[in-house]
Amino acid sequence: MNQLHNAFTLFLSLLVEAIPFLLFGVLLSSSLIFLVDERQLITRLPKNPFLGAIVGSCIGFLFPVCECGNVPVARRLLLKGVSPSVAIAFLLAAPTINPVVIWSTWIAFGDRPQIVVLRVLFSLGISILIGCIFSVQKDLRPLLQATLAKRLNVLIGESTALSPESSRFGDAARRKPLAAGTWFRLRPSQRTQSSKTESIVPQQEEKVPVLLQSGTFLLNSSGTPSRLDSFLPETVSTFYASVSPVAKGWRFLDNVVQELRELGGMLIFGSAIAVIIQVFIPREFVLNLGQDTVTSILAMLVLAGIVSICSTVDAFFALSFASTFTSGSLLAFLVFGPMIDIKGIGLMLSVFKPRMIIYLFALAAQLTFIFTLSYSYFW
Amino acid sequence: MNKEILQPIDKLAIALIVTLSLVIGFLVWGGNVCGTNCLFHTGPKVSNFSWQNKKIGREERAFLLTFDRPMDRSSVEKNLIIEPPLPGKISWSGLRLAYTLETPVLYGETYQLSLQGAKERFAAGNKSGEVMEPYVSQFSSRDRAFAYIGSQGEEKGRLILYNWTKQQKKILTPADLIVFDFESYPQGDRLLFSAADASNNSNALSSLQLYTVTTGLNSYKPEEQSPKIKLILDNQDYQNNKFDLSQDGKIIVVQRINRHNPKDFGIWLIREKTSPQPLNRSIVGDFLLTPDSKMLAVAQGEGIALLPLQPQADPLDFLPRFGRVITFSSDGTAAVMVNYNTDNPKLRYTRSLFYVNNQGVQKELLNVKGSILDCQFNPTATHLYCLLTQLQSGEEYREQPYIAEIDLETATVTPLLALPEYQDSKISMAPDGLGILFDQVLTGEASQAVNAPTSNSGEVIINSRLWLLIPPSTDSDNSAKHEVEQLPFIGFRPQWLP
Repeated sequence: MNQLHNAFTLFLSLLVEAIPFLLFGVLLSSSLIFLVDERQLITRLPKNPFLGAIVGSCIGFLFPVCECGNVPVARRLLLKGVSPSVAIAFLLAAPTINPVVIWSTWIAFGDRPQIVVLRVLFSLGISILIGCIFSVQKDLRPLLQATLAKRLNVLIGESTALSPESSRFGDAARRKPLAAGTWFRLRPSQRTQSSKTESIVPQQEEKVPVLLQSGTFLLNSSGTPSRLDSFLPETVSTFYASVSPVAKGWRFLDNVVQELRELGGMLIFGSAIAVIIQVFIPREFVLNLGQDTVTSILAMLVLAGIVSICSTVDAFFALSFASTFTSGSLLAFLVFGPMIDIKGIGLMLSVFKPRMIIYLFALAAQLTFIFTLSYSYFW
Repeated sequence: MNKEILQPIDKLAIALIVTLSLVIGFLVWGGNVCGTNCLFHTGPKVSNFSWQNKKIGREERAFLLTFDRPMDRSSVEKNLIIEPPLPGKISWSGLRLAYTLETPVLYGETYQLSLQGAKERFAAGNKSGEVMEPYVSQFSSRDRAFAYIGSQGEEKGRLILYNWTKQQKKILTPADLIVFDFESYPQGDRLLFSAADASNNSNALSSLQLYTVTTGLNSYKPEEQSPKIKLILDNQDYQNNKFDLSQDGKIIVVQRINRHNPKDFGIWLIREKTSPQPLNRSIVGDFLLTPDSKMLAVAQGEGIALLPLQPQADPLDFLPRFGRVITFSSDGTAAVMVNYNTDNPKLRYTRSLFYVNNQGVQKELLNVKGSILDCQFNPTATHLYCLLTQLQSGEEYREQPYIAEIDLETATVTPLLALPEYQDSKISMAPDGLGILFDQVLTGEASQAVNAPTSNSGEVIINSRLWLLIPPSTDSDNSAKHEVEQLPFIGFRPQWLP
């Protein structure tokens, strides 16, 4: 009974800690729809995978999101068509490489500045490396969840129709949205103009690409999205020009609610798993694994994975181990925790297929281990 | 996973995971087979020592030794050696060991700190881990040095620095400046002094200007060895009188009088890199900056006012019982003050010395029929050394000066040394507690000498000697005797440098 009580307390504390950041991430993600013109975004981002990964890692400075908030933003970036290296680097680095987290780490470890500096450097290094690794996969759809991949198909179809040179996605990808046939409609004005034809027209006739605007489409994987809004904006600029602020507000709100419902559910699921593991494998047990330089890093990696503490406050959590663990193992906790934890895996499952998460998890853990062990050996 | 699903990322990721596993295996294996002298440093080590190769002074009372991982504390405490020994207390905070000295370091020494054989400790159980890499480091204390004003030959009226550690004497100021008073900056690297132009014979005291001069102390750079003089405050419109320098060296307060309007007088404040600003207070009494450099203790009416260093601000506190602050302890937690006993008819014409601290304690230390000229705390603030006078019985009014030691805990007064003549001098306690410097001056009529320095009472100093009183050790038994040594210097107003 006592254990159940503890578990419930832990569960609630994880949620209370994470939900504000998830909400912030969702708000940011939703505002990206309106604020950022995807075409400009894509043209401005570097094509080179390495440079793209660097940029992706540093986007966190603009969007200070925690590891719960980065998933919706990364998902949105993917949907906007940014390259995998940018999106993956952002996903891994944003929870650490942002002013809030760097500041809180400084407050906690100001007396050991190397921890603050190395946390940033290691996180950047690992994110850029993994970002580059994932850049070999030009087409991310096989690694995404079916609904998201389907949605990306639509986008890709659009963009390939508009830009013949971008044929990397292949014919199948182009055909798929057309085959579905019910995804895009003209705006009412256009519909009247082309009243001779059927109201549903192939998307090639659209002048500019259209992005799906909210999670509504994503959730409905039956093949026929439930909300085929006739006023779906053509572009950001025309959307801004033609939609009243009230309608814009509703759309924003709609997107926020949808993403919160979806990701919030995953967060609750992830938190529950994290709590169950913590109840069955107590922290003390994990900490007792740390018997030397190597095992203390391993213990802190495991701890980082299961406690699922938010990156904005994890430095203070780590500080409580400062007198009993090596600096290398504290660094392992601080670098690995924000990238991957069990609560975050729940959220990531809403975006990626499990094997993608396994790759991310394994590579991040191995690189963190190598970096922090090298620090212990050579510093 | 069939061929159709196997994407480029699958191949690369799996290959990388395997490769990284091999790298990890190599690192772990390397760490296991490595001894203490190896490319991989697996043992614990000292990551930082706060006094490494530093010159330390009386204000540094503790060092930090930071380890790169949790240590078996008892093994560290047992193996930590400082040569020559420096008694202190050890405390821990996480990975840091703090060593707090019981007494200030002796000046002019080089210390070696060594630690070997200490072990690491991990959270699991109390199992001790690997033995640390041996650690050796050095630090040194500042050179023991004092400055005084020369009174003979080419040294007359000039500021002289004597580096006791290196046995070197150096004249700091030029012959065309007659120095009247000086104070040291906190590191001893500069002195602040008031001086008048030697050519201005008639009214030297009213034409004082403030200067700083570099001492080159504790520096090995040859370019810093020659003294550099800088004018801080001129005497154009105002006459500069008494001054005081804050303990942090950032604030100077000067008592000034307008040359054209004698009603315009008061304290001026000079902060670092700013021009002098009047505090707008007509302060005539004695004043002293508090050790925290934030307040001015001023004799005002029948009490001591503690004034903030802002123009027009009200006093922060007022101590009505006391007429004068003699000195503060260096940490600012205590002070000694004089009560002139004007409100007590039985004690009229006597003076009482009080110990006042920041805990609200006000303890009377002694009551004398005579004067309390100067007092200084010892470095640990357990004893007080005072220059006092005792009124002699007889028809002629005569005061007998003497130096006394006062135990602050028991308020026991022990006269150490009677001085032959009345002196208006000050005493100076060495920052490491070595001894007390004082002077013995012979004064004469102003007509007897030209361009000669004067005493506080305006008499010309004809001759003077410097003395060092080495007090008995405060922790030894009472049988220990003090020693008095005449120093081979002709001068006055000697002051130890911090």
